[in-house]
Amino acid sequence: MRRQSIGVLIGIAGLFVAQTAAQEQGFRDLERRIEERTLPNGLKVILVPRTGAPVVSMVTYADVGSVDEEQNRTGLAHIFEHMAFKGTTTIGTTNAAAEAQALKKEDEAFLALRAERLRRPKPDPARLKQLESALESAKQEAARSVDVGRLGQILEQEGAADLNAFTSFDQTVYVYSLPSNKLELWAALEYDRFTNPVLREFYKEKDVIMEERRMTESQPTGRLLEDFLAVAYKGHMYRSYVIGHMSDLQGMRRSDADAWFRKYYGAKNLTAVVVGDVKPATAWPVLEKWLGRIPPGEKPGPVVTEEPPQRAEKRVIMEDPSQPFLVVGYHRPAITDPDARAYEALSGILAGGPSSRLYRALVKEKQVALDAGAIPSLGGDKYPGLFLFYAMPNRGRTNAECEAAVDAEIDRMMKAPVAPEELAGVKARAKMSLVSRLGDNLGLAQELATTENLRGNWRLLFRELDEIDRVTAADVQRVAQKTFLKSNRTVGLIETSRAGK
Amino acid sequence: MTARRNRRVAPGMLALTLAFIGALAVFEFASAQSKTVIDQLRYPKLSDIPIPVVVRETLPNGMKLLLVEDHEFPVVGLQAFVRGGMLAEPAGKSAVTELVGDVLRSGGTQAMTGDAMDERLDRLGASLSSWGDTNSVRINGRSLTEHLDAVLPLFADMLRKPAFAEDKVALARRLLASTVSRRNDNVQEITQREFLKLLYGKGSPYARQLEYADLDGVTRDDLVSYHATTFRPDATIIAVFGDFKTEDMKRRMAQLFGDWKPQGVLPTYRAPALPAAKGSVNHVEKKDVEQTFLFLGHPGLRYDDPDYPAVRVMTDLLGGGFASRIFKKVRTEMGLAYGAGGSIVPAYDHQGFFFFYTSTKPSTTTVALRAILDEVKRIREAPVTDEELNYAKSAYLNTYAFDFDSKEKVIRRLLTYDFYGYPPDFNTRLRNAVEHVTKEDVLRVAKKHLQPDLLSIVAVGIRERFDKPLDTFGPVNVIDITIPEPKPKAPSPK
Repeated sequence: MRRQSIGVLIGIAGLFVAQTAAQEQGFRDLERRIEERTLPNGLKVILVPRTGAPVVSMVTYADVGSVDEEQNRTGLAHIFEHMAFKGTTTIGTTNAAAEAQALKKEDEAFLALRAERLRRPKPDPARLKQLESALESAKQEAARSVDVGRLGQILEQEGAADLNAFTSFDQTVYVYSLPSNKLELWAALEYDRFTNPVLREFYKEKDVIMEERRMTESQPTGRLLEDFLAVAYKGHMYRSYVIGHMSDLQGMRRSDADAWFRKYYGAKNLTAVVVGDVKPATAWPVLEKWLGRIPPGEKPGPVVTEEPPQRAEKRVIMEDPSQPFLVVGYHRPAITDPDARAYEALSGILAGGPSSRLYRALVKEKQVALDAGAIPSLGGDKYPGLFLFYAMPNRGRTNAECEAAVDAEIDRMMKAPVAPEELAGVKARAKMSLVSRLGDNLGLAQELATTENLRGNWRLLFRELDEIDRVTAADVQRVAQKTFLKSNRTVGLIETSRAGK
Repeated sequence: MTARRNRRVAPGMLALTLAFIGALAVFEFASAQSKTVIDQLRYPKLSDIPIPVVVRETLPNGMKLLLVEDHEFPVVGLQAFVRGGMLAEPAGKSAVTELVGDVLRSGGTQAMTGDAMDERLDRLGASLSSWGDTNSVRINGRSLTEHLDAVLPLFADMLRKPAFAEDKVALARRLLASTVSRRNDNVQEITQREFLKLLYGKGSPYARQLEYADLDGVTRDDLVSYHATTFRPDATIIAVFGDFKTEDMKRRMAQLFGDWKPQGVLPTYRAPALPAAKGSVNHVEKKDVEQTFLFLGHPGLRYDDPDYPAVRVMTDLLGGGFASRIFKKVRTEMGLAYGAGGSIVPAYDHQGFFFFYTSTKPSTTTVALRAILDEVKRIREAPVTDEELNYAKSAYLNTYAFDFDSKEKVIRRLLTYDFYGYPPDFNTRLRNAVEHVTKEDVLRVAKKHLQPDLLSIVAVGIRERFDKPLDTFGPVNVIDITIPEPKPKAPSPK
């Protein structure tokens, strides 16, 4: 409504300007409605009142991911994420006192088994068997006090939608949506699970996670990317796949997960975002009452290890029964780098839509690939990451043909500035992408939480279009020239083997 | 990397009732649990759900329009359904729907080549995409409001005047052939595809599996004639949502489509009936997997079957969420799998199916399968508890507000209802029916509709590593998934 009248006021002479201003209005209205508070315990809360259906989406963002892990404990960030669904001292148990005892015994049994498994030169098979069965009994004993799946049941019963969580290299994020009259249910339960968690069913859940790993390994691209990352990085923890090594999963102790929780889940390391049909005046007291009581903890520091400059091109060739696949990754700076938007523009020109350079060259003209594209970063963004190209060769065509075609496009990008229309397209698509990312409550909540944590201020989300607007053809070329050096890249290939299916 | 759980497709209700059920549920926790943080919570009444106003209109030529305004952002979304899809394919012309779906967009229009369209749309940040489905060809589009003048005519021309350029037909054929060549790389895809073939029968559009030979059998002329027969205004429904004025959009649509005349009689299409179910155990050997992927099921029922609401409650309880029986048993208690569950996939115009699934390490293959089968049998044998019934029903009823949380979601639902001739408030009727489901209903429909003996079981994995042979469950049929190579073509003049 407002948009229209502004257009009329400015009049026909200023039509073009009015038009542009009008389009930004939706974003500005939204930004103006956003409120933020840092609670006394250090927890940052962002609240976005929005009209529409009586629903609300919530995100709890923990500024910790697999990048923060260490040797022996890979996969721990993700393990803890799973444990955050297991309930608390009062939710998920039928007898807290008996359970505490049983968990202790379960831990003792596991530690004995773990020590035997690690015995050098090798474990004693008979003893191993005995300890395994002791752990099994201890698990069964502990299971007696568990009210299985209670937290999930409460949430689903109350109408939770999108109930989920994910762990990545940089972050661990817990999300769901509720009918908006139940905001307090979320606040109370988040307080509880990040204050009084009980890591029950820990050893069973590790089995679940090992199955999750096997699922990933059952996909050819999953297998390739795991090895690709391990080769592309030699020092930085972005080399380690989020799910963790099987041996580390097997060796993980409940005390490891507990220590992880204590180090990384203090209020100072959490951000909560609420987006939906809520009134700030009634929402704030509820949020402050519950979230304000999460223990403050400490803000852990960033990781120290930096990826050293790469000396020469690296290659990972995986012989596999599946069809060929190609990835090429170049080291690039972190998302906080002033050139971050230039990398987005670069990927937009290379891969944004069916007229983009890669799609046109590889799919439509040379017809070497079924699909081809680029993404500005694979995996993590908080620390220097990888700009990634990929291609899936057509039937009867090869990785080598695709690689040559990708290289030709990279070369073009370095040699000549991009055309103004190409840059204009990037800008138009950025606007469209922003609309679709901000359109729904949950998407907006996740964008705000991520921007706040990775870039230091959620408001930068609303500067995105301005930042993209400022990118020039010279920027794009400069960034291409400094990044796309052969010595800065890792190539990953699936080459079809003959054996098997 | 997630704990999973998707949004329930929830149905309808009055705000008052919702608040009442919420309060009830809390009261029950309080009595069942020791002191928890939520015992004392009292929720305010849920606000009324604003139901977006969707304007419907039928043009004199029979084309249907659904319009809903949404001015939050300067964007307009488009969707078109053209009735027919694979059900309209001439005999021996499998692949024509896929090719029409692809080339409708990539082949351009009589006024603009596909490549020029690509450029135009990419420059504007807009998109138009099309694909062929079982019973329709569909177009999806999105544009900034400011570029609607450029995008709408392209959308209209795609429907009315596609060029099906020969070179793009060849390209689409090549890309589809590549897709065929890769179909055994994704193990989940194999599992589901082989299940659907067992359920619907080979050759059914609902179990479509393209072969190289199908692609070779379709020419540009086939696409042109398919378009001429099926693309007609009275077979088309268009939905527009976003930042526009309804009256203005009606006018634009009348301009773009008003002179599109239907020729001859409107063809009708009928979904083929499912073949009679017979239970079977099937194995696909695949070497490069670390788990056995299991998928089992049998025919289900239509959305409008009077038993559907009770069946939905029953399957939600059996395999739908964190606290469902299969998830709790196979994942949480036994630690056998990351994903485990099941559901009913009802259809609007045919039976649909029940399915159950999991994936587990080879050495627990039959343990996991047995655990699922036991749960399927158990729910047929004894009534569910009050707590379980309350859980499944409340979960369904309390998510009703999410049915209306975006105007796009509302209009897409209405478009689907319209396409299948369902009433626009069908979701609300379902919601009301779920409210009345009893434990007796759940048991009755479980006994009637779940038939463990009729399950088609598909297991993909490495047989020699299974804990026990699959024939514990019945005679094993081995499925060969080798992709048939095309017959060498006789050289023909171009």
